[in-house]
Amino acid sequence: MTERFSLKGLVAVVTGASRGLGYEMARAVAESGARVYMTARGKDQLEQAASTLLNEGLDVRICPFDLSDGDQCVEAVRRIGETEGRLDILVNNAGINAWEPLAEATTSTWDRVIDTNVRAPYLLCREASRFMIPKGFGRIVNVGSALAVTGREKVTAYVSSKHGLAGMTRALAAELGPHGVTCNMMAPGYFLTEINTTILARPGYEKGVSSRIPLGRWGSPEEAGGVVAFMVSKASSYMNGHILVVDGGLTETFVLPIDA
Amino acid sequence: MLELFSLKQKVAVITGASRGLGRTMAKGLAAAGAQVVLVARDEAKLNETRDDILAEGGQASVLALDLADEEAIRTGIRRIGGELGRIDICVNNAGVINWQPVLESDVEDFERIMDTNVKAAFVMSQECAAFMRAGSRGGRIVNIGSILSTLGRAKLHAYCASKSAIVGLTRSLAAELGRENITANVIAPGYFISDINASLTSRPGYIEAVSGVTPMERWGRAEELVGTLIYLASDASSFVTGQVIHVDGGIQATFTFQLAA
Repeated sequence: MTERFSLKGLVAVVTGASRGLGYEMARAVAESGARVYMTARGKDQLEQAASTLLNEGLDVRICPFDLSDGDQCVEAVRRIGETEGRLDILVNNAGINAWEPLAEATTSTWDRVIDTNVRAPYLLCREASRFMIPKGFGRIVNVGSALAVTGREKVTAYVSSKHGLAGMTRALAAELGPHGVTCNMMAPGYFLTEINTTILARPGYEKGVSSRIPLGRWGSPEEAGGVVAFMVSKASSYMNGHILVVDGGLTETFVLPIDA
Repeated sequence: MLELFSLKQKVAVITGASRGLGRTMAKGLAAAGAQVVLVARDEAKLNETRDDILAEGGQASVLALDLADEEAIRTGIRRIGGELGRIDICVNNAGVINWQPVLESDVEDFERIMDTNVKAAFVMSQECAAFMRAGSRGGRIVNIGSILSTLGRAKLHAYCASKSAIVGLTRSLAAELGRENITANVIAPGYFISDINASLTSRPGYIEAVSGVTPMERWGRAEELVGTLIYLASDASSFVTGQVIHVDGGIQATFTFQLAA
């Protein structure tokens, strides 16, 4: 039974792996037996994160690079693929957000968000597919957001980028499917992570969100790991182009913040 | 009104036309030029709707029947369709709702809701589509869903099931009847001030709570369904079928909430 979830012998890349959901995804994929290359921009934080996992006996390596630099994206994937002779799993987790009312929003913010959240995953998918197609096997998981399937005010670039990533996921599912490479999206809702420190600090925000979620709470980062471990395993072999939302029921239900 | 949106010469049948959103929509169809057949159980209330339409210079007739009675629907539609010579538009609006915690609910209640909200729409569509096909002029089936056609809500399992089912029914009708130029679409209203919601709107804080999660920050007004209905019933929508049109101020497409003051 557990064999179908085993990732033994496989090589994975998880971006944005030094903290938050990406860290938990890297841990889960490594725990399932894969060798995981953890990527992020900041080398120190990445080394720290990796050392924790190494101490737990997991097979992780680090590969620091800047996603906003296209050349670095291409080079990183090529280096990993050539070193290992394979690249089976790509988890595009890294992403950024920016809060700006539309009238005050800048084009540079738009470019920065779209570049990190859509252009970088595109480049990584493209390069990774060159290693996956010859093997006839691959698993790409793009990490979206509940905002890949619903809208929200003051985060126009972010919502656009995540909807765009969903479109790219479906396009790649269509194109890479014949080669045994699946491409799906894991779309997290509200999780208690560092990236959300700003909004969590706002009075009433945590409760405001919880009151709209059937499970009545935010997700904890570990809860993202198991989902991705499933999505990159053999157990998901006929799932392709799917947007798997992990949000405690937020986007599929209508819950009022009052008991009625 | 633009010719494209005119319903002149058309016969439209609408259920649940005795009150609430159905009455407003029936008046809207008549104002757009359709001859409207008003269907519901309460004949006196249907007569009121008819009189309103006639007073405004429209055409309407009353077909009082119980939508839980399959034979009554079949007999009634065949008779009125025969008398008027055609049916072009079928609007399945009638619906019932009941709040019950799932563990305390009973099958009778579930069946009553499914029968009224889905089975009656199926029988109505079947009978009306027969006239649409016979006339070779195509037709329009418009089913009224809900925001709960695509979202779940606590204590409304039967209603949610019925309103999701109506989407499936609509898509299947679209698939099968498309070649006859008969389209089938769903209008999915959000929260509207209407009779069916009276028990909700009387609860303290309910109106404000719903407004707080709606981008337009208010409830809908019955007249705001009319434009979408006329569009889907008219020539303007001739290549639109199998769709769910949300008319909900943006609730379904967004995540919006107000922080407690």
